Amino acid sequence: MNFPMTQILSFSSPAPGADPRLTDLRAEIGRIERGCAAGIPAVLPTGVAALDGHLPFRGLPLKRLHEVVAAGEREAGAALGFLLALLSRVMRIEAGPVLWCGRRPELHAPALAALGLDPARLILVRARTETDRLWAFEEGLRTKGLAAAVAELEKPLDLAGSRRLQLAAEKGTTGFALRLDGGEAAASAVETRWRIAAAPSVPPADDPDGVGDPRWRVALERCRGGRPGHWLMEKNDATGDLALAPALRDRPDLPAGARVAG
Amino acid sequence: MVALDRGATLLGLAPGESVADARARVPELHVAASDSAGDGRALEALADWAQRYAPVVALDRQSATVAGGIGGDAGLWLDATGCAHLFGGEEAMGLDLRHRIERLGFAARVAVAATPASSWALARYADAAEGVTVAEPEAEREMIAGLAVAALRLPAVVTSALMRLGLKRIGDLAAAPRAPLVARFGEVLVRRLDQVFGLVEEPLAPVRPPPSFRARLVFPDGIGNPDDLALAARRLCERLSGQLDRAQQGVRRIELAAYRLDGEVGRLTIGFARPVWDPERMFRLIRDRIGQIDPGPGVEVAILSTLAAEPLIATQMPLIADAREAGDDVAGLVDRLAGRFGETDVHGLAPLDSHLPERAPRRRAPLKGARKDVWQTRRRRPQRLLDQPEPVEALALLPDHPPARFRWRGRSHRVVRADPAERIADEWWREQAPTRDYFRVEDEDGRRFWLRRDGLSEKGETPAWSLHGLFA
Repeated sequence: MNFPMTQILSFSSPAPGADPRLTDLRAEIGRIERGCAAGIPAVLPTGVAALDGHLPFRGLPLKRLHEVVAAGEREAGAALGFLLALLSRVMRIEAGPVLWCGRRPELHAPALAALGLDPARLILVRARTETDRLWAFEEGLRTKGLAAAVAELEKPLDLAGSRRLQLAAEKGTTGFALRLDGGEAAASAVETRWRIAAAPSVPPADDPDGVGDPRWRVALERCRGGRPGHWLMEKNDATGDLALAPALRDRPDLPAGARVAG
Repeated sequence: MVALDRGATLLGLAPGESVADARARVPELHVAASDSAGDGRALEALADWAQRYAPVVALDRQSATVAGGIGGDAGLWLDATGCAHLFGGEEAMGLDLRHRIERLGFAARVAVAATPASSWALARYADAAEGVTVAEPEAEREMIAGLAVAALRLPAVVTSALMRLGLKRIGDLAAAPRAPLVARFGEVLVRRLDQVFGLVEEPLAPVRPPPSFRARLVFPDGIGNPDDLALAARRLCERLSGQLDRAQQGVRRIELAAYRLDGEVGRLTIGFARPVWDPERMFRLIRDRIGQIDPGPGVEVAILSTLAAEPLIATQMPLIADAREAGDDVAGLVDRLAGRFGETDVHGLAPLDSHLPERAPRRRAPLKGARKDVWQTRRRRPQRLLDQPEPVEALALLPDHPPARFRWRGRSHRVVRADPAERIADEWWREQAPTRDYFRVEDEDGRRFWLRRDGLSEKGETPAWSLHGLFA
């Protein structure tokens, strides 16, 4: 993994609540970069202030194509976790079912329900070939009335393919291309591309050997109208909220329950 | 002998005689082994084919059965009500039917009459120049009265007894007093009489339930190009949709039947997640699968019929137009996906009350989700549960502890954190399987896995480790 160990944000992103003129200006620049085609998209704030501040529209654009890639073949769990965190936020504000296509979607419904993501809203499709998966994904992206469409893909999207899917999403529904096997990324027209790896958790206070809330190294590799960035994030399993991992708590040698002034 | 052709009958031979006797009288007799199962299948295929003329087609298997054979008198009934005008009248329809059956290699006689019994009698016993008899309503009674009593579908013993009594024509019987006839020959005789004159109803048992709605197109020269077929399907969808719209009905299942020039019938059935009347939605699904119909030498009749129609009730039409449109879009998506991948590969998830993780969710049709689904969320479960647990090599320092290391898919993971074991016993009504323990563990890089141990070392079993899921 080529992530620096505790590099936690931040570039020159403004703090939350920054000058609205700056936001407008950023949107304007984004519009110019897009060639005016799509205008300002509807945006879903991720709930992580530093992340929203970094993203050009202060959140994740809806009705666009996003790509979430595992940072290696063993990072499937982390990549899926990050995707589900985003998806459950999308499902909270967008009505309708979610299309999920994959070779063999191995989603475990009770675990999704525990994340606050209603399994009854899922339409699962088993598609054996990549062509079939892309076909189903595109059909889903074109469909109004879905909350989102997700495809577990095995190959990187190419430029033409991603452009086609992005256009479909703009008229239909938010899309997530998920690559759990990791692998390279080709030049593509996706709105954002995220690369996710696991990071060691901090044990719960009552069990120093136990497994704590999940932490991920989240790298934004590509962002239309914005810049790359990377963050160390933690998901609160109890509330489902994403947050930046408190930097000092990340030291593995820190005694459990220690309090750090800072 | 089960059946005879016309030539053999003219020589005085009859079904039921032995082959040896017949050969003694007619040495040049050509005999073929009977195949009553094959005859039955051929008759069914013919009934399938005949639905191009009318939706209700019934088999007449009983005729001329000797020793279980179907015989040469087997027939079909077609309920031609409301169909003849498509062919230019009853006579034209009969001629068309007869010519086409002949082209398929069968000799046939056709009669069009008011009841199943009278058409049966006229087809077999009336003199007809072209092999087609049409009984005009006002003349039918008289035509029937002139036929031999054999035309009544009575047991052979009854027929011959009637002949001996001098009751040779159906008209003779109709004029005779009823009570003695019933006393002597039983109730069947007067029932047949009433049926042939249309005094009692004789229901037909159709080979396939008749559709509520049906649209039909004819191509006299046949079409074989898939694009032409698709175009035909689009026009059929529009016509069917018009009928559905007028009746305020939607369809859940439709069937496209392609009647080929060679007598074969290709069928394509399509189901919908929600009742549909929109021609565009019907057509899109047909178009995706039109390749499944083999046009062979050409398709000359195409019929689109509803297999399951139901009223479009108010609850299926949400008040807000947008929501309805969006819902239709999603239902249309499900239909297209099911059309391409099959209904079992497009599904939703429903809770099943089982504490075994792999059994807890069950598949169900998509979009059938209920608000009252209750999921067990108390226990930590991996977001990704592998269909098949994958064996891992694990090294546990103490018998009841999580492993210190394990190797999965060729890579070694050092376990730095683990939750206490969760024991899951197999459901008590299933025996054999050993008790399992599950551990949520985290490796040195923060990856989280659900490890499973089968078997208890305290019982002297050698534990087997596997990886059953991935945590976020």
